Amino acid sequence: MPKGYVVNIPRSRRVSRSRSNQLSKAADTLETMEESGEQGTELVSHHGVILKSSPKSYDCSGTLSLMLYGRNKYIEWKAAEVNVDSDTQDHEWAVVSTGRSSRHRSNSECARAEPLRLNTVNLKSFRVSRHRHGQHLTFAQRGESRSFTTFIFHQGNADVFVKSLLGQLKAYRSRRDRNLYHLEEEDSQETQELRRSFAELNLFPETAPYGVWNFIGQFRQRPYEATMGAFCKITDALLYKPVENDDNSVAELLNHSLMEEDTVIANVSGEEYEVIESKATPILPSRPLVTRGSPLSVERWAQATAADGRVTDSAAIKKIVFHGGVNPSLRYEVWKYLLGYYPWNSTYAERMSLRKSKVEEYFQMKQQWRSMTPGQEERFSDFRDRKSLIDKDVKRTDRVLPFYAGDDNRNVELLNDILMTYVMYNFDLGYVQGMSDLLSPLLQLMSNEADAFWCFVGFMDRTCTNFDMDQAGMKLQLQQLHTLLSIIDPQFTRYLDEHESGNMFFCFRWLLVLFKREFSQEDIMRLWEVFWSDLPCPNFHLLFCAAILDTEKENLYANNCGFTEILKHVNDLSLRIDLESTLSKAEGLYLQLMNIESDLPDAVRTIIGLEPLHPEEGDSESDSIGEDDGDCSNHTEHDSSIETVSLGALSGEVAYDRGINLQYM
Amino acid sequence: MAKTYDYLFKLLLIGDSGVGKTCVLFRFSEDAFNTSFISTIGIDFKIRTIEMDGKKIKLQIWDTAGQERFRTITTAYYRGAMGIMLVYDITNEKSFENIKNWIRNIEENASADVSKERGEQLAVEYGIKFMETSAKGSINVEEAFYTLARDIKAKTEKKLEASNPPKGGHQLKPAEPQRKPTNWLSRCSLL
Repeated sequence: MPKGYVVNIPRSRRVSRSRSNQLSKAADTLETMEESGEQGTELVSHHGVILKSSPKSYDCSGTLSLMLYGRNKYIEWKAAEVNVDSDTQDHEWAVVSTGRSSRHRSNSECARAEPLRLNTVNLKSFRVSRHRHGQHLTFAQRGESRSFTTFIFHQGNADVFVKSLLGQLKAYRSRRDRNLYHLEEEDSQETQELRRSFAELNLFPETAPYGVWNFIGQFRQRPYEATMGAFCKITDALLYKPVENDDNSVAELLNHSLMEEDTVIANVSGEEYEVIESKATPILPSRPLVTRGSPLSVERWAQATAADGRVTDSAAIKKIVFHGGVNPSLRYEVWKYLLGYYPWNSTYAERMSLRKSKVEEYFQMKQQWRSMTPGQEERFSDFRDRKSLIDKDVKRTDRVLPFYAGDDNRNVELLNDILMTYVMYNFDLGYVQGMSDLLSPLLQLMSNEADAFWCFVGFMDRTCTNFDMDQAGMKLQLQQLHTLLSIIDPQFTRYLDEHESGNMFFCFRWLLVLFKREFSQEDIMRLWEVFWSDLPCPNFHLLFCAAILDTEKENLYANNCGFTEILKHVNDLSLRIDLESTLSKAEGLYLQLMNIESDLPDAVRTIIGLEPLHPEEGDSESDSIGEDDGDCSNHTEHDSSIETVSLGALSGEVAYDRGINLQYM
Repeated sequence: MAKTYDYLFKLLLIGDSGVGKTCVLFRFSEDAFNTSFISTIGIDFKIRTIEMDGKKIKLQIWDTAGQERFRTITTAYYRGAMGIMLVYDITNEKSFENIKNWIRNIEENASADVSKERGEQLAVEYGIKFMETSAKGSINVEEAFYTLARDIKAKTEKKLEASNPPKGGHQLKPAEPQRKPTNWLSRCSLL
C-alpha cells in the first residue's frame, strides 16, 4: 500500500446543512446523513476514493465504505478529514495525491462535507470502468430517477472494493458485461408480500422447481396461452381454497427467473426485438434419468464382424461402447479401431499387412533415436531436452501399479521407448508432461510396444491440442466449459465467477490428461473408450466435467468455497468420483441441451457439434480461438528461452483479484 | 469463526520439471519421502502451520508444474505470493542455469506491489538466500521454509508498524520475494 494513503476517518461528524446544498447533482441522489448519532458497523472500507461530480469543487478524496445501519446496508462516502490546524497538512496531502495532484482540490473545502449514503436496497447495479486515471465505480439506483453516482479510484484498485462488496451484497456479474454487477433485490416488505401472494395462489401445484421452469418455458413460447392458463389458476384460487401452500421457493424461483429475463432485456435494450428473443438464456427442461448399458460383448462383436473380417456396423458398435463401454477381454482389439489404428472396414488380410508395415515403421523410428551417437546428442539440445523430460517422467508414472512397480521394470523401459519413438514420429510436438499418463493405460492393456505406440498416436491425434506450446487448446476448452456451464447452471457459473474461478483453471488437470489422475486404471479405460466413441456429441468430456461439478456444487456452496478451496476440493476428488453415475448425468445434460436445441446460443451449439443458427452474426468467443483443427503436425516448439507469458483476457482480471484475496485467508 | 493463525503466508515452489519441488514440499508438509512420486499437473498446494516467536503462521505452499508451456496457467497463481523458493537439481546443470529464467518469469508475473520490492532486491544480484536441501535425507528442508517464513514475518511486522493499516478495502502486501535456490542433492534422485 502506498504510504500516506491512510487518512483519518471522521467517525460521526456534524456538519451544517448549508454545506450539503453545495453538493453536486450526483451527490444529490445520495442520502445525506441526518443529524443522528446513529452508529453503524463498517463492513468494507476503502480510502483515497474520489466522488466524481460535475462541479469540480467537490472532487476530493475520501473513504468509501459499506456500512450497516440497523438492518440496512448503505454505501457511504465520507470526505477525508484533514486536521486544519496542522502545519503538515500540505505535506500529507501531497503524499495522498501522488501523481495526480491536479485533480484534487484543497482539502479544507470538502473535508467538512457530510457523509453521503446510498441505501443498497435502492441500488440496481454497479459497474467498474477503466479510465486513463485509474478506475471508476458507478452505482445505478433503481426507480424512475435512474441516477448514477461515480467514484474514482486513482490507484486503479476498484476491483478490490468490488470484490469486498460481492462478499457483502447479493450481486452477480452480468453475462453480457463482465464489469457490470446486478444487485438482487432485497426483501423489502413489498416484495415479501408479492412473494406471499404468489405462494398462496398456488399457481404451480406440480413439484416446485420444474413447474416453474415449465411455466416460464411456456410463457416464452406461447405467452398468450401460458398467461391465460395462469389466470385460470388465479380464478381457481379465488373460488376454491388453495389446497396447500408450497413454500416460498416457488416464488423465489419465479422472481429469480424473471429477473434473469430482465437482465438480458436490459442489456440489449435498443436492439431489435428479435435479438432480445434469441439472446434470452434458455431454461433447461428437467434432466431425464439415463441408465447405462452393458459393455460390448464378445458375442455382439463377433456378430458385427463379417466373414472377411470387416466390422459391418461400426455405428451400432460405437453406440454400444458409448452406453456401456467394452468388455475388458475385447479391449485390446476394439481400441485399435476406436483409436484409428485399424480402419473399421478393413479385412483380416488388410489388417495383417497393415500391422506388419506399422510394426516395421515403428522399429525403424525407434532405431533412429537409439542409434544417435553421444556426439550427435551433444550437438542436438532439442533432442536432449525431450529425452531428459521423458526420462524424468517415466520414472514417476503409475509406479504404484504392479505393472510399473519396482526397480528395473521392463515396462517402464517400454514406456520410455514408446515416448522416445513418438518424439521421432512427431518431433515438433515432442514430449510434454501428461503424455506419459495418456500412454500408461494403453501399454498396460496391450503390453505390445508397437501396438501401444500406434494406438497412442491415434490418441494423441485426438488430444494433441492439449499440449500446444501456447496452451491455446487448453484455454479454449476451459472457456467452452464455462460457456456450457452458463447455460446448464447459470447460478453455479455466477458463483464461480464471483469466487475468482470463472477461468475454470481448477479443471486444468481433468482436461489435460482426460481425467487420468481422477480415476483408477480400470475406470479410466472405461471412461476413455466411452469418449472415443465420439458419441453423443463432440466435447462430451466437457459435459462430463459439468456433471462432476453438478455433483460437487452443493459442497462448494455449503463451505462457501473461495478460489483456493475450490481448487483444493477439486484436486481432492481424485479417486472419489463415481464413474457410471457421472456418465449417466453427463448424458442427461446432453439430452437436456438437445431438448431446447433451437433455443441454444450459437456458442453452445457449436461446442456440441450443432450448426450455428446465426452464422453471419459470428460469435466472438468461439470464432477467435476455434480455428485450430487439431492437426498435431502444426505445433512447433520454440527454443528453450522463456517466453513472456501474458495471462490474457481469460485470466487477467481474476488473477488480480485472487492475488489480493489470498492475503486474507 | 475463530482464526487459528496470526499470519497467512503464500509461498511458491518454482523450478524446472523433475527437480524435486513436490518432494521438498512433501517432506515439509508430511515429513515423508516417497520414491514413487508423480509429476505435478497444473497446480496444487499444501498447508502447514508453524509457530514462530509465539505467532502461528499458516504457510500455504503452492506446487507448480515445471514444464515451460504450462507457465501460462501456473503464472496465474504467482500473484499474491509473498515468498518464492526456487528449486534446482544439483545433478542437473541445466536446471541451475534456468534459475535466472525463472527469476525473470517471476519478475514479469508477480503482482505490481511485489516487483517494487523486488527491484530493490534485485539490485544486489546474489542477495538471495541459498540453502542446500535434501528431501530424501530430510536435510535443511525445515530450515529453508522457516527461514523464508521468518523473513516474510519480519517484513510484515515492519510494514504493519509503519502503516497502521486500515480495515478492509486495502490489504497490505508484505511481499518479500526471497529467492532461495534450494538445492537438490544427487542421492535423492528417484530410483
